Amino acid sequence: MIRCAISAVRGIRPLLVPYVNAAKIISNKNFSTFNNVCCVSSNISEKPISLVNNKQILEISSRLGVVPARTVTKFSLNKGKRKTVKAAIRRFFRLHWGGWIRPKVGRHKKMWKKSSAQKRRLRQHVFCNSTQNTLLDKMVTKFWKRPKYYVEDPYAPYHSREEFSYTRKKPVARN
Amino acid sequence: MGSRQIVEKSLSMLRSLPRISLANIRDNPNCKKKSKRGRAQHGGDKHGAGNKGSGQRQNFMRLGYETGNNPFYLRVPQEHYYRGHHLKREYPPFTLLQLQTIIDKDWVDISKPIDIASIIKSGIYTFYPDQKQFGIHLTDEGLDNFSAKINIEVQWASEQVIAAIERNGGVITTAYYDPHSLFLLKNPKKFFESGQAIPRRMIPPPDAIEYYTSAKTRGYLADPEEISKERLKLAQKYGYDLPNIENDPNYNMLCERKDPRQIFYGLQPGWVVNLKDNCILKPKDQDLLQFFNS
Repeated sequence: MIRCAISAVRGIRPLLVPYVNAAKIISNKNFSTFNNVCCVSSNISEKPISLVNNKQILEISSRLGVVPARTVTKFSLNKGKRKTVKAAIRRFFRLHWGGWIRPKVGRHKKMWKKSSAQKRRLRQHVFCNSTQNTLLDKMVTKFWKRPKYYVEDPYAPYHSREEFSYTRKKPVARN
Repeated sequence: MGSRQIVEKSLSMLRSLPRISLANIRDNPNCKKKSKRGRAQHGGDKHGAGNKGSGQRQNFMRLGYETGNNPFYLRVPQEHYYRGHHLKREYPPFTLLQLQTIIDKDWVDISKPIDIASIIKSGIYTFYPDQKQFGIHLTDEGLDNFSAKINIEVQWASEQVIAAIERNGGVITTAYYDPHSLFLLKNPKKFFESGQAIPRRMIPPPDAIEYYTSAKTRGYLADPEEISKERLKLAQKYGYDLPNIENDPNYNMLCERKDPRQIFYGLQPGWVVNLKDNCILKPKDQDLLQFFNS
């Protein structure tokens, strides 16, 4: 019966009617299924139920929450700008010369069965390789690539590579 | 039937008609239809996209995705290297070597007190107050070759740097400037052209108070007597004879300091510099004077 009603309402083609009436019919057509559903439910519970105060739907929507995204945003909704992957910033640190450092994987796991030498190695922070550096550079914006000149910076000795002849930038001072 | 009615009618028709979609469009009349299959360079080609799978569909995988593996950038444990970065103050470094260079090249006048404005004017140093940069950090590179007697005011200096300057009979002060006054010091002309009164310098934030009130770091809010004691202590620590400033011919220059509320040497807060008429306008109202001196 309902299907018939829907099809009947859909069948109306307001081709040759003036503007106002046409709008009415179109609006009817758009919400025809919805109105029919409403009528059926009102017969059962005798209350006007809409989507807004439907218990089941409210429950589902409350359970949905925010879907986490840990990937790069190339165009933000507001300004259309690239965004940083915060997951990368929480794990890695960029040195001024472009290298990235990271803690070792599994440094807190199964410590009872690891030797003291292995535990010592796990406490260290290591460099990422070239591929990973490129990936991480793509994941962050220019803000994170800008050198940060903090005073009493614990990473200050690692921000330049003057002591190695191939990476040296300044000429050697010979007195 | 008037044209208006026709328009209304056709509009109402248009509204009731279904929207254009792939299901109900057709080719333009007289459009050209390809009857042959191309066999030239890129005729029936895959256009470099490969034969099967991910490549052919051109589904460029998201950054860092490893086709189901736990991605490298999420595998590493969290460390929070950048925690609190938005609250930290930056001080871009300026080496003693660079300072010696601009003195030797006469890019800066050492017969007057040197501050951040004169160093920026020399053109060798720049900084960005809007990027949380709070001025000069004088570093110890070229420390052994430093040999100038100067009265300098920087925003941050280490103990060795202080010793290097005081060994030559110079004077160093570390002073705090809030970002707004740093904008003025970076480009005074721009500010003077705006015709505003020179504001007061703000006091340091709570975490910087200790540094700028300490005599050891030659803070601008420290007690001068304490500073002279610390000068002697540092000379003993590093083993040099502290030159006597009192007998120096440039004693007045070496003793010149800015007021903690003052931004420019020779200009008081509240004054307006009129570049057009080449004059300085000073406030006379008691309330204004009280405000700018408080």
